[in-house]
Amino acid sequence: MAERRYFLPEQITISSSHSLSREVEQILVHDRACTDLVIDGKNLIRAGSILSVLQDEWKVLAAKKKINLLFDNYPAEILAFLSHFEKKAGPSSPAAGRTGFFEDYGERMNQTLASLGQITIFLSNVYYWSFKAFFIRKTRRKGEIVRQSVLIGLNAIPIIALIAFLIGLILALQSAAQLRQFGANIFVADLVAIAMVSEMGPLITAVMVAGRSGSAIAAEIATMVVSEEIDALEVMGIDPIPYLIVPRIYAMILVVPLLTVLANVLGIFGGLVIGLTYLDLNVAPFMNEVLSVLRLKEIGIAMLKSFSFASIIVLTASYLGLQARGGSEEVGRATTATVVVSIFLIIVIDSIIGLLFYFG
Amino acid sequence: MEPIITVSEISTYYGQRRVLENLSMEVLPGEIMVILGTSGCGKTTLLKNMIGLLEYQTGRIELLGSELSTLDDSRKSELLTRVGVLFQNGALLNSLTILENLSIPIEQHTKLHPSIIKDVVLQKLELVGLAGSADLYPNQLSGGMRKRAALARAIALDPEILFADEPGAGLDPVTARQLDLLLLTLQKYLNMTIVVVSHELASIQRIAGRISFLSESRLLFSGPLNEALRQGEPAMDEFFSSHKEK
Repeated sequence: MAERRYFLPEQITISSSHSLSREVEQILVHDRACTDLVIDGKNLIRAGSILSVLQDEWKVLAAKKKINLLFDNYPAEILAFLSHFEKKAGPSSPAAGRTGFFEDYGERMNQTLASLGQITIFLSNVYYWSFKAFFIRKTRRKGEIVRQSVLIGLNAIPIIALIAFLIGLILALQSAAQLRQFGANIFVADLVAIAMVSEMGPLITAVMVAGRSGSAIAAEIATMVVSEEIDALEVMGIDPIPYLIVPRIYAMILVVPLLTVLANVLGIFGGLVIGLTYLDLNVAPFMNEVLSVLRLKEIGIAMLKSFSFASIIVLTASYLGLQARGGSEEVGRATTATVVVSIFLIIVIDSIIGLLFYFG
Repeated sequence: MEPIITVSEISTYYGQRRVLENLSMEVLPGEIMVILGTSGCGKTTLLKNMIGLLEYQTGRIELLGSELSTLDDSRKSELLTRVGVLFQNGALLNSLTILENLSIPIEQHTKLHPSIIKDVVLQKLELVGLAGSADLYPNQLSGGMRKRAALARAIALDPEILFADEPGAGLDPVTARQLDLLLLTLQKYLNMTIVVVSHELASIQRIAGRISFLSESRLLFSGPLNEALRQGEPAMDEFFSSHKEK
C-alpha cells in the first residue's frame, strides 16, 4: 500500500504536455507499489484545455490498474476553467453497424449497377446530342469545335510526330539486324509499314492523346463541376452535354484519325531512314514495298481503331469529369482515372479489333 | 498592461500601390480587437502583416514580444504555435476528414499519443458545437459548420491569440451571430486575445472590446466602439450610418 503524489508544473500547454503525460503514465503503469495517486495542482498557474483531456486519460488508466486517482490542491480559477471541458466528447459519429459478407457484396453490386445505369444514361445523352447537334448549331458555342481541334490536334502534332518517327526508327533498327542475316533487308519496309499502320500508329497516337488531351478535358470539366459552373449552365437552361461535350467529341473524332495518319507516315519515314543508312536500301524500292504491302484493309482497320480510340478518350474524360464531386482533390482524381481507364479501354478495344480482323 | 501585439509605423505596398501607410496600433492581452473599415482599406493586409503571411516594407510588428520577420524558421514555427488563424473561407483541406484536419497542427507541434490527439480534437469539436462531425469531409458540411470546424482547427493548440478574417462572411445572420457568441465563449474560457477583421456592424457591436478603424490606408481611430460613434470623423460616420440604413 503506497500513496504517490505528483506535482503538476506551473504551466501546462499542449506543446509541453507530452513529458507530463509520460511521467504520470509511468507511475500508473509501472509503479506496482502504488495504490493511490494524488495529482497535486498547488503549483499550477496556467493550464490549457489539454489538462482536461489528460485527466480523462489518467482516470481510464487508473481504473484499469485499480489505482485510486485523486486531484488535489487545484487553484479555483483552474477548476473553473476545467469545468468547461468536463463533458467528455462522445463517439465521433454514430457507430456504423457491422455489415456481413452478403450485405457488402450486395452493396457493391448495387453500386456497380447504379454506375452502369449512369453510364448508359450518359452515353444515350451523348449519342442523342451528337446526332442532333450536328443539325442544330445553336446548342453549342460558336467556334468551339475549331478551338478544341486546335487544342487536341494541332498542338499535339510536334510530340506525336517525334514519338512516331522514333518508334518507326526503333522498329526498323531492331528488325534490321535479324533480316540482314537472311538477306531480306527489303522486308524491313513491309514490317515497318504493317506494324505502324495496323498497330503502333493508332495505339501510340491514342495513348499520347489520352495522356495529353483526355486528362485536360477531364480536369476542365471536373473543375467546372466543383466550382458549380455546370450547375450555372443548367439553371440558364443550357444542357452541358451539347454545349461542352459534343464539340469535344466532334473535334476528337476529327483530329485523332488525322494524327494517326501523320503518325503512320512519320513512323514509315523513320523506318526509311534506317533502310537508307543501315541496310543500303534506296527510296524507290522501299516505298514500292510499302505501297505493295499496305492493302485497303490495313488502312481501314487503322481508321476504325483511331475512330474508336478517339471516342473512348473523349467519353471517358467527359464522364469521369462530370462525376467529380466535392473539392479540388476530385479534379486530380478524375484526371488520373481518365488516363488509366482510357489507356486500359484502348488496349482492350485494340485487342478485340485485332482478333476480329486477324481471321477476316 | 503590456500589449500582446504592437504595430509600429508599418507601410505595405502591392507593387507600386500603397495599401497601408505609417500605421500604428496595439492589441492588449485578453481583449477582442476588431479591425474594421470599408472594402479595400487594407484590413486583411494588416492581418496578413501581423501573422507574417505578407511582408511590410517599413515599420515593425511585435507579436507576443517577438518580431516575426527577424526570427529563424524554427523560432517562427514555435511562435506560430501560440497563434491561431481562422481564414475567410475556412481553408480546410478538402481531401481530409475534419478529424484529420484538426489533427494536423497537433501532430506537427506535439509528441502526443494519437489517442490523446484524437481526444483533444473531439474536445475542440464539442467546444464549437460539432461533436459527431469528426469523420465527415469539409464538403459534407454547411458553410457555418465549415467555419466552426476551421475555428476548431485554429484553436487546436490553445493559442494565446486568435486571428479571424471576416468570420461572418457568407453566413446567414443567425449563423453569423452564433459564430460571434462562440468567439466570446472562447475568449472567456480560454482567455484568448482575439483580433477580428470585419465590416459587419452588428457583429462588431456584439464582440468588440475595442476597434481600429482603417480608411484609405491609414488608421483613423483605435479605441472603444462607443467612443468611435461619437468621434464625428466623416469617414467613420459614413460607415456607421450606412450600416444603420441597412
